[in-house]
Amino acid sequence: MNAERLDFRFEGGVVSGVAGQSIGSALHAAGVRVLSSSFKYRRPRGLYCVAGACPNCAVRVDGLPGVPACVTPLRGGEIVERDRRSSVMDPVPDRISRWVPAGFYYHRLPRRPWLWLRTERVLARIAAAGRLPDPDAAAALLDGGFEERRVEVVVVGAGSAGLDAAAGAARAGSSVLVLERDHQPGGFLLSEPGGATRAGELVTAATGAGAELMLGATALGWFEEGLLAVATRSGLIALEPGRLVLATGSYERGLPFADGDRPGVMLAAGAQRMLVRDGVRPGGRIVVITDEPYGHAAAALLHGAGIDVSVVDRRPADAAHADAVDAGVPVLAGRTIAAAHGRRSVEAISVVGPNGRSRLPCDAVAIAVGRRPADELLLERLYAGSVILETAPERPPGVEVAGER
Amino acid sequence: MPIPGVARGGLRRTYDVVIVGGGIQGLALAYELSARGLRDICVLEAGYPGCGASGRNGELVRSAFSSVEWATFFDASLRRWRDLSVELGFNVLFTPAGYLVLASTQEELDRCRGFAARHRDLGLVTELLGDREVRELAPALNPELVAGGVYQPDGGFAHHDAAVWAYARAAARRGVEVHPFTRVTGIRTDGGRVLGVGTTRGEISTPVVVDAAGGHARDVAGMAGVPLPTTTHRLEAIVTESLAPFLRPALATLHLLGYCHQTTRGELVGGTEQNVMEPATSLNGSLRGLRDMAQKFVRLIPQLAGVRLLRHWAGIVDVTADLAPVLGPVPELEGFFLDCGWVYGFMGAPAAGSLLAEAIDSGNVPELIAPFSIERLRAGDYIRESSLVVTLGDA
Ligand SMILES: Cc1cc2nc3c(=O)[nH]c(=O)nc-3n(C[C@H](O)[C@H](O)[C@H](O)COP(=O)(O)OP(=O)(O)OC[C@H]3O[C@@H](n4cnc5c(N)ncnc54)[C@H](O)[C@@H]3O)c2cc1C
Ligand code: FES
Repeated sequence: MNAERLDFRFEGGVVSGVAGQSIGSALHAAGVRVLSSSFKYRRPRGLYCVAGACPNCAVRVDGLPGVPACVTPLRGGEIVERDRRSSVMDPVPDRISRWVPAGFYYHRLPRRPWLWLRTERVLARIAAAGRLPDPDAAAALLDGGFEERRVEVVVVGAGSAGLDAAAGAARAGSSVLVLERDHQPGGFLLSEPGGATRAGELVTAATGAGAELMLGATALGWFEEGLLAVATRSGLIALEPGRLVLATGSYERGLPFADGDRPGVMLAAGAQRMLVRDGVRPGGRIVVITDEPYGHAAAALLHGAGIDVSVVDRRPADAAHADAVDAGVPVLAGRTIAAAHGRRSVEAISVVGPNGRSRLPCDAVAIAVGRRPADELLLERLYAGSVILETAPERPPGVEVAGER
Repeated sequence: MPIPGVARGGLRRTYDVVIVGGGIQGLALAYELSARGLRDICVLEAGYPGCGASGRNGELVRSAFSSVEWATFFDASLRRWRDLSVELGFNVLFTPAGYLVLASTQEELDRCRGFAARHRDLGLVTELLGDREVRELAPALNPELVAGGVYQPDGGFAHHDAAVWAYARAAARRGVEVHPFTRVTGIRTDGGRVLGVGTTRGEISTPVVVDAAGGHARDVAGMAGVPLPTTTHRLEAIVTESLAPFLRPALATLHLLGYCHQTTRGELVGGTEQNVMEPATSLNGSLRGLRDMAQKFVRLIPQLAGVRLLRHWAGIVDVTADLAPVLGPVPELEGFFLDCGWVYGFMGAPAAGSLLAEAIDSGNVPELIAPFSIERLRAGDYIRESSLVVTLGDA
């Protein structure tokens, strides 16, 4: 890439990235792994989904907290900070964590109310460490507008399914608006080589047929007024869709294991997106954990970028080897990950199998164990008003579901 | 964490007392009845304990109300909250961080002055604060909205789920059966007496039925042929992401019709009312409500602009014309008791539970709850309370 270089400030120092990258990828390229910390115990957290769908990469940008670094494009000149200090920098919460296991305060403290009153103050200092926005940044937001709009067809999600549906509806003569949370259209296409080009073609087809594409626009929820609320950088839009097409795609699944939240442990499509979309290598030595063919494809892609990659496949050897794509990538079959190691970010993992436990050094882990549908908006619409889910509801008229789930 | 205190076994055919509704009211009453030595009590809950307003409220606790009826009753409750964790053996996370009724105009401050004087007469510990003192107490508040207020140092907030669990567990330990996913579908009566209830899991005989069905209380009373003069309303609330401590006391704003507090975990939890509270039984959040809350809280605490919300939800309450609860027997139907009409039913639960248990057990209605009878509503003899931040529009 010989794109324009952009400088920004991170925790007092200057970091430089490349135009088109996200803040998160630029920080990753500069060696920053810890972006935020967990609630209460303040465990270090970093890029995980690289899709704007988890809380792990929230940073403070120009005085506003909670900005997802992985999907926020780098503009240059911004001031980026961590919002909370993690236990790596401030080890107290982690040290006291063995005295304060989850839910301890319900059972240990009732007999000593005075102790709760004191603990409560201490906990508030430790757990609740997010900072309020800077007053100037907060004041500037108050100009945000509110707009109500009626559109014949609203498509949520500008992945291949959404863009295709939008083109079709626009060709059929409807007014069409496509909403995309990311600053770039394409969805999962952006994790694939050539995907951005393909996304560009789909966008041309859709907009050429008359559809409008809105980027950086998050569909927040479906409300009982029959309105879809959309948050954009400039304010809130309440859309009244004639027909609603949900093409929100899917989320990658995670995998629970000890210290599985260490920075460096990522979801595979996220690691791919970082490499393909932003030109940043997720690590120099990556282990892909999988039980799906796409894990092997991800490994081949990462290996093709010159990264040292190996695959741990949870399935038996025959299935695992049948899916292997790249002969240069070693495959450990019938094994799975038991733990991540490293204080600040992952330095090695433990792998267990029938022959016991072994340690693999690595600086990143990519998890490829399947996807689940991103169906919150659909569920909100389906279960509107129900309290107890006794029966499966029917799909209401005017709601379509597009794409692979 | 599984909900403590929930019965796994089958329903029996007869009970001495059947309580309809496993919210904090029904559970506190069950606990208090069993503490008085009554046996064979069951709580029938259509969903799971706490799935109604009890698990959806703003968790605030105060007794600094303007009327004698409200102030004395809720003060009895506040005194119970202080030691509730010890009594129930489970931390309800009651935090006496103080409670501020905020006045933003001179007229509101005059109102506050009036009820602070009454608090002195009633022996409640509250202080009338001027604008400077309120700004010191809560520096995050928009100074334009600060004229003064009434401050109750030992008011505060508790954790709504913990309180529901604590009561359910303590009741179950005394032998109360709490049956989840058991909806009451009918009430059998004969000759002015209660005989039993029909449920989605079969018939039950009982001489005593208590309507503690929250937002569905009118429907349940209707099953017994008792017309309940209430309307069902939706209240909505929001919670922000966790932030370092910036607001110590719980507060209610008379001007914005809102209430909020910052939890120990650092989230701001609160809700607002719009000027006209329309009847609604929906549990959906509305965009109207969300915008109202976001705009008012940003006005109240300007630095909240740009803070992200974690959740937004709604709950329903069945309210009376004077917004006060209905507590006690129904004269024309022996064995039928009301524990409903609650808008402040979280903070009121400890006192309501024990006083109504006394009424059921002894047959005499204690003085503190006597004003909250159904007769007052039938006679149109309403209680006048002017420190509420919910409104029916004409109040
Ligand atoms: C957003 C919001 C904020 C609030 N803020 C506060 C506050 O700060 N302080 C405060 O004191 N109060 C507050 N309240 C009010 C408070 O939550 C209620 O008054 C209180 O929870 C009422 O308790 P309950 O047990 O009567 O009702 P609920 O908790 O609603 O319980 C009633 C139960 O009855 C069950 N039920 C209904 N019909 C049947 C049937 N036929 N058979 C069996 N079970 C049935 C329901 O499933 C429900 O669980 C707030 C309420 C809301 C919604
Ligand atoms: S939201 Fe950025 S890594 Fe998940």
